[in-house]
Amino acid sequence: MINQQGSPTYLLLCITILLIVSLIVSTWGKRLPGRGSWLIWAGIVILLTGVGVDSGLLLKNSFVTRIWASGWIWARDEPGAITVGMLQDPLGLAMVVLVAVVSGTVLLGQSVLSKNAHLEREMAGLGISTAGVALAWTSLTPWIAFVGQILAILGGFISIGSRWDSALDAKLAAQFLMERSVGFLLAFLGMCVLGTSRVILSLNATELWINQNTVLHSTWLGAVLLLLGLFVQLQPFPFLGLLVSKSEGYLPLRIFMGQVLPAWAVFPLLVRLEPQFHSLGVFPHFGWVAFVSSIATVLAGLFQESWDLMIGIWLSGGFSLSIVLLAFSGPFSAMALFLGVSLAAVSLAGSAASLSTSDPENASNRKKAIWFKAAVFLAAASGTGAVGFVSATGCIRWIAQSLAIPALAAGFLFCFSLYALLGWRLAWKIAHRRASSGSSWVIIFVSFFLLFLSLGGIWTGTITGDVLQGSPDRFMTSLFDHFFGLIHGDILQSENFISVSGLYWGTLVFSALLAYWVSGRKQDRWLILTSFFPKSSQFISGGYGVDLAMERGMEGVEWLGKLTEKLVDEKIWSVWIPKGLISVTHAVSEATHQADVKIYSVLSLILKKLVDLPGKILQLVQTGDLRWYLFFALTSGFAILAHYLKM
Amino acid sequence: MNHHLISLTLILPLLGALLQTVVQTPRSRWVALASSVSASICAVILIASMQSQNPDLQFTESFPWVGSYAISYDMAVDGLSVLLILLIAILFPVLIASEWDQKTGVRGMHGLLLLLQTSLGGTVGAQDLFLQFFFWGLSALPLYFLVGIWGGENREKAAFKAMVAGSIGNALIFSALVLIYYSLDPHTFSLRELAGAKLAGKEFSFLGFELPVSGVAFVLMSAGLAMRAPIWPLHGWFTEVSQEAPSSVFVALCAGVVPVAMYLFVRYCYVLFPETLTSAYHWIVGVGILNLLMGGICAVAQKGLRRLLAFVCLSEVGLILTGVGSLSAVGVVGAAYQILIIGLGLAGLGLVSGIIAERTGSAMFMDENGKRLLGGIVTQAPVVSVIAGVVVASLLGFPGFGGFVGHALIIIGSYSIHPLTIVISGGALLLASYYLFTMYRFIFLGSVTGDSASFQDLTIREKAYMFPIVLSLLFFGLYPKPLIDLIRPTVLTVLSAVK
Repeated sequence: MINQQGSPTYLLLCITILLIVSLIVSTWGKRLPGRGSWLIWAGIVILLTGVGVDSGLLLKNSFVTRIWASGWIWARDEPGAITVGMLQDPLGLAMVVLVAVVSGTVLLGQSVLSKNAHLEREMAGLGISTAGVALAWTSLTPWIAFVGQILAILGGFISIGSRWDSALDAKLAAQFLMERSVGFLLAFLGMCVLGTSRVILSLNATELWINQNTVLHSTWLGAVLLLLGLFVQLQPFPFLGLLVSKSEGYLPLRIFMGQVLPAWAVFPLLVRLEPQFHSLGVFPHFGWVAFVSSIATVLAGLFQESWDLMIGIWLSGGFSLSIVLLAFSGPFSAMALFLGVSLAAVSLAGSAASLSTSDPENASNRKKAIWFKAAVFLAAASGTGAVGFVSATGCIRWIAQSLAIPALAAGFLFCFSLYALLGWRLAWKIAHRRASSGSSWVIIFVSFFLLFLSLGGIWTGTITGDVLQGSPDRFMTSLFDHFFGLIHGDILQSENFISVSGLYWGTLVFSALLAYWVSGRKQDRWLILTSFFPKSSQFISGGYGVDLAMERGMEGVEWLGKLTEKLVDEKIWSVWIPKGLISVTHAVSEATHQADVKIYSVLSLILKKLVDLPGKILQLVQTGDLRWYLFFALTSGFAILAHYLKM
Repeated sequence: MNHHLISLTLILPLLGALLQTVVQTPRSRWVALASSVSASICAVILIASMQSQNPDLQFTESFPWVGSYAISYDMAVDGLSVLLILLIAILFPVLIASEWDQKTGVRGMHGLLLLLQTSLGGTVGAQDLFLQFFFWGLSALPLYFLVGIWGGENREKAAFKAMVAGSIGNALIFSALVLIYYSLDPHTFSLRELAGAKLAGKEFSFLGFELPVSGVAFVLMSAGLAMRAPIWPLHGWFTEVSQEAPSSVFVALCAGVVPVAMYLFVRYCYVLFPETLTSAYHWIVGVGILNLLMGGICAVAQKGLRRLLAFVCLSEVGLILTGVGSLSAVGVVGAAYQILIIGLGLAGLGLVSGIIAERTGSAMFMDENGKRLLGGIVTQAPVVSVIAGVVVASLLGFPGFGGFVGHALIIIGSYSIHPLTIVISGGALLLASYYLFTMYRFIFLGSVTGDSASFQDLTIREKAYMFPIVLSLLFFGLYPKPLIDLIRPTVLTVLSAVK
């Protein structure tokens, strides 16, 4: 019988089942009927069932958060303890539902479209990442959220590297793993430092770290490292190397598994720890880092020639912008943009990849192409905060909150307009292709379903995405109210509404028109513009040479390693020490030998002299030259004389 | 009351080593394996029977050996040594199984491995300094022959270097032993009697100078152990042996001898020289940081798996030293735990390197010009690739794998005393992620290159001996509690002497 106390552990069990079936598919998928897709489906259904049961219990209990916690290393209440636990709140459960539904939807499209010989690996990767994201959103402590992040990374690696036999994809998979690991390891170090400062490392802690009796500099340093590590995992500037590299893999999967799911596994920590970051002063300062990063990322995207690379960069820019929103506007706005851009990017990638110039041009294929192009524009709208989508509420709140400081607002609007320009330029670039599509109608359904999930109505309970004063278009309670408390509408009821709306609409319309002017017509004016300064545009589009600098840096480390090795292993240990030891041994041996010879000769001489005198006398006695009695008389006489003289 | 379980773990491999020399070759392998496995079973029973919250020595067995010099056969196990007992129990049956098809002198090789199992087990269990030194000194002998007979082209040179380094190290340790022995009245070698800062305040006269016994003995012992464990820049013999030794011997060295050397260092520091430790811990951390960094930097420059692992070992030893020097319960428990985990991790990758070398002729993955020599093994042999992946994840400290526990505890423990360690550990971990993933990519991913084309996946025998290592890395990563419950009370007790 499932009761309320045990429900967090049941959810953990459901996640574990999904993980296990994914691992089974990864190992034996090739031999399973349908390459094991039914197993992944079953795992996702089990996960959804688990969330359904838990949500029922949550509703029954008036949305009271439930937790299960346990000491993993050390007992829970001891200093330095690493604790694990599960947290069940509306936000976590909703996100688990979302990830399960989106993964199921992508799986539907993937099994129809992907031509990969190792489809089972892609499906297994999807299952593993989904389990990871679910775990991250329902974890009580950052430690267990880390496990979720690692699973999401592993899933992405398996999926991206599903074409391991291709040297290019293998390189990308390794790079993916390396970049994510850098982020993860930084976050891990941050957590370790936070562990030493003995703050309560719980994601539902009501007490702020700054108010706890802790070592403040450790807490601050730990928070910075943690935030930096999480940020790096969102793959913004300067980590654009992977995004600006061409891949032979299936684009929608690359976007979903390589970017969206790992980011979804990172975001729960960012959202849940946002009050802590703010209280420590890490936010909003870090927001400026994200701000610069997002501008640099978006610029790199604008300078791309290829639309397929632009999608990933646009998504990454959107993620950076979400961090900016988190820092300056709070989790409500950040979450709204984050959801909008994530879902839009997957839909956009799916639609764009389905448009092909090689498919036969018949009425049906042309019709499908029109649907896909419509999906592309809707996705651009969804990702750039257009009215009706969930991201709209985030963007308008951000503008409203920054309006008090005009310079700040101007900066934000500039950043937002660049981002929106990239989104719309991308849409125009894709739509501009004369394409038909031989893809299945299932793919069209998938693209539109993902856009449906990004509608403002679902999340905010309003048709427009909560951008109107007083929310006259509300038709149900906002989910965000359950996530973050009753805060909707507060900002828009201010007297600045007209200004905020004006700026919001103005920016959107300006960006869309500019994008049309730049890329929507026959000639891509942006490309003409870049042809005037080819080297600079190449520099920007190539990710600002960061990868090259990193490569040079690693070459430097390698050179240092070789030098050290040469010095220690080849010189000191192989030449100098042996030679030195041999020389010293030889020298000591030679000196000892010489001394031995010397001592021997001196001793021989002394001995010879000592023996010679009595020998001579005895010889004289023996030959009769010296009378023995005379000799003894004389010696006795000398002895007696010496005795008396002594006295 | 005397327990004989520890002695059984020592005697059974020794008996096996003797018995298999008089049995014909096909059966001798089974005799060797059976004796090693039975010793391991005894070890597991011993560990399972230990009281988890007891800080004292357990399963003691003691009787006089050389009565006139107060030398006794004194064996026991506590929280500090238990993980080493476990490591040896897992490692040696695996090594014997890995050398099952050895063409040259299989009986000799198995016999020497069994002798090594006895000597390392004895070193860990001994509670008498002389007895411990006896076993520790003995462990150098099988290694010399194993490298010198079954090694690569430059085996004699490498074995000789190892022997010289080991002998110097042993001479230094023995000097310390003599110094300690004569500093107490009545003279004793017993670790129990020497524990609890008994050497504090004792001095001896040398060339007219009054020197502290504890300080001098600490320096001598540390230097002696540094000659046997890879401490930069005294590691030259180690990298050469790593290059020349057969894979099983390389694993015995990296995953057996080095962890035992680290264990001895921890025990000597915290049991014999607690008062010296309070002034020397900065030096220990300094050496650790140097090792961590230099190991990482040199690893980046490697083109072959074996040498890469040698430098990974160097780096991991540095991490353990930072934990030892942390003087905190969390850090020392982390160091003790990490000793077990690096043993298992290096054993895993070391054996993989042997498998690769056996199938392709070399474990070099890149030539001097950066051209890849291997690649695409994952498509040919997914099992070995997954095993390598698990070990890499553990070495990087990913959650869910053994390395996570050790890494996290060491960093948490050492940060509060040495905040700089976070920077160095961070840098070393980032370097590790670079060279380990690069290695993984060059060997396992990408298009099939060169000799990888005909690469066969693991046989049943190979899977059987890799299984315990991978399982242990996962189990100890997911559920470290039972082992930590065994270590922690002892660590808290020895720490109380320091503080």
